Amino acid sequence: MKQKIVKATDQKIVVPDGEELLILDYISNDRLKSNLQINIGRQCLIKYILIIDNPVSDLNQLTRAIYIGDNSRLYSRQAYFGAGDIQAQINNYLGHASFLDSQAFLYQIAKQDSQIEDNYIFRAPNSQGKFLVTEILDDQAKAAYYSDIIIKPEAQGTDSRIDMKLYLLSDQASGQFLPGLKIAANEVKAGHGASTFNLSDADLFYLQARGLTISQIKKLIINSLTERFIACIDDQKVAKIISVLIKKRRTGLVKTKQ
Amino acid sequence: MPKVKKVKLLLASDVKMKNQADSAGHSSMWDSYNQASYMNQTKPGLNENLVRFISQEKKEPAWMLERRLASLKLYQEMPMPNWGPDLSHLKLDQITYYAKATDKQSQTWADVPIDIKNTFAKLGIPKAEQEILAGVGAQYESTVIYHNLKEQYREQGVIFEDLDVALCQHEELVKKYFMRAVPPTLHKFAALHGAVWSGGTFLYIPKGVKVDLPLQAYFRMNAKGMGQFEHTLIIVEEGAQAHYIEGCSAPRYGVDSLHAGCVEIFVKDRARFRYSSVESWSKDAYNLNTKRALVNTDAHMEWVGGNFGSNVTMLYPCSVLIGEGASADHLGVAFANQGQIQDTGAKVIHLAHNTSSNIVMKSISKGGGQAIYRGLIDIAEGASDAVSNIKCDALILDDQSSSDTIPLIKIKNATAVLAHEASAGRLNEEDIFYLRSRGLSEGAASAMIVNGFIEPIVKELPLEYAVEMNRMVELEMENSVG
Repeated sequence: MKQKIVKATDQKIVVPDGEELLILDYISNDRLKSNLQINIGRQCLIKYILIIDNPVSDLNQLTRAIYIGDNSRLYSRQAYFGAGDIQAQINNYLGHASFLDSQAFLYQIAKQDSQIEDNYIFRAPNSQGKFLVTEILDDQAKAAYYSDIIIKPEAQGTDSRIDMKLYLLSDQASGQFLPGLKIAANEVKAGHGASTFNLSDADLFYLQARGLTISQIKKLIINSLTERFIACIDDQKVAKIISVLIKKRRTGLVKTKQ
Repeated sequence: MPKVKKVKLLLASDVKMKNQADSAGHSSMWDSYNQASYMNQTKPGLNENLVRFISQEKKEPAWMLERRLASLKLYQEMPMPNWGPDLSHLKLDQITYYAKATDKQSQTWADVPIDIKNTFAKLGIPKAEQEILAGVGAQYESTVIYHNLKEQYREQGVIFEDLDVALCQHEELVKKYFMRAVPPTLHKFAALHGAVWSGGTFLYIPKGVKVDLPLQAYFRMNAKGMGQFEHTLIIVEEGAQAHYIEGCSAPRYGVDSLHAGCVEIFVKDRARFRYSSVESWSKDAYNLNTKRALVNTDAHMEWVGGNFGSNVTMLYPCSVLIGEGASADHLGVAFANQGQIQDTGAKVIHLAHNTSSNIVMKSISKGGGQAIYRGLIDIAEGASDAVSNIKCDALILDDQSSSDTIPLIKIKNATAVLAHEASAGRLNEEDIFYLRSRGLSEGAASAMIVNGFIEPIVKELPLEYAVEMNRMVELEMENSVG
């Protein structure tokens, strides 16, 4: 599969009809791109990977608008790390009979306080989407993840679902989520789910009785979620980047805002 | 278990029957109204003089007037809500904020003025009182015209009064609790309510007393362009138990009317309370109601609600779980038909250890109606081991209608367990085909499926109300109501 690495100067990427392409949008310490539009043509197969790993300085008002052409398939993976706060808005617009599989992985530590808005706008008939958000918050981190499935009146025959999972790994972390549905068509299937996870005292007791420390237990949880996320990224180099970033965070090697 | 008797309560479902029986019309809940000469005594609009007049008219203590004036100031300063349905068409200066249809309150229906008595008789209230209720209150415009409680409950110390009367007779109790759960600072319409509230219910259930029959209040707006601001204040003492039902309606004039009531419930330690309401305002009414319960240690609060009628409804009953082991159930149905916005939902704020909440909401939108579920679950830092389950389902019956689900979830404690599930869809064609093959018309089949859809909520209502709610749905399905 061909690759396109998004440059700091890119404002719009146009993918021609029938293309198969991996788009890597990696925002690291040295490059910040605040606004980008991606227009995907018809009958394309696209993998889009967004990695946000901004430095201590906050990243404000990053926006992405992704237009998915008729009969195209998009596999989108978003990883939110960074050392400062992140404010991002991602809007996905689905065309006729298109398909979107989106997974977002947000792992915030220290005193990060981030807000992500991630919307799925169905504007033509017979499209499908499945969306998963995994939010891991440790230390004193805070995050709000708002996501709307918006089905326009003309988007009959849509089938969509969003699931949000929140993992609070510390007493001082806190999270918000809003999995919204805004539906203006009647011949649709739409659903959402949200859940939280915690280790009960009994779980902790069991694991500690097996000789695991709290830190090791957290490592197990994070590793398991990480593996699930990167398992669906078939580009080994990109998977490795994400895996290393997560490990750095888990082991305290990231210099964060205090 | 008390024996349930069959009593006829007139709700929207009777509109069709009545219209068929009486071609002249003007006999249904939404089509009939009485001449309102008393409206000449008051003008539309709100100012300090009117607030002072209301307070003086009711011979209120000075502290209540002070609170009214403070609320008025807040109301004047606060902006209109900038979220939710568009309220720009609501002309607040054209609303009549206070109107008194009769000078006295009665304890027997024989003493109620004949035109008002007939209205409530049509609604089935006096008959229901005799047969299935522990007590009844009836409000007409701004004042309560009838209030009665069965003697056996009075003897146990239960107080069930018009709030205006309670303010005179139980001033300290009212002062202690009034607008403590819903402060006027909460939002613009809570402030408006604080300034112009009138009538409503005061219910006090003493420690350990269990009232096994429901108590009911019915609120009726009669005149054109009226505003109704009744206040329901309920205190359920330690270990007590009761069930209270509210019903509401208003005739249709083609001119906006406003209902901005307020319900405050204090559920003390180990008490259990159920609040049920069936709101059937006419389709020119704005229903901007605020309801909130403070739930103490090991106490349980249940909200069961049906929202039909009205032009715009904004109603989100809220439980604040302040004591350890407190719990709340919220069950609701909203039906949005042509031209209606039903913006309803539930809010639960978990503030203590081991609290739990369960929310089940169903909405149906049809004929261009807009149903919105707007919810909040807030689990505070100190609320360890909180559990919350939320389930929202929406049915969208045609391509003109819409449904939004906006469930905000805030979690500040790592031990919280929360599960939220929502779905939206249409009627299943296979189910309709099956029922039609059994001889049902398409309308009857659809109504039957919709009634099955709302069954988890309806089954929590007393039998008579459940039957009527099902009939109301059937008629909404036939498009013959409103």
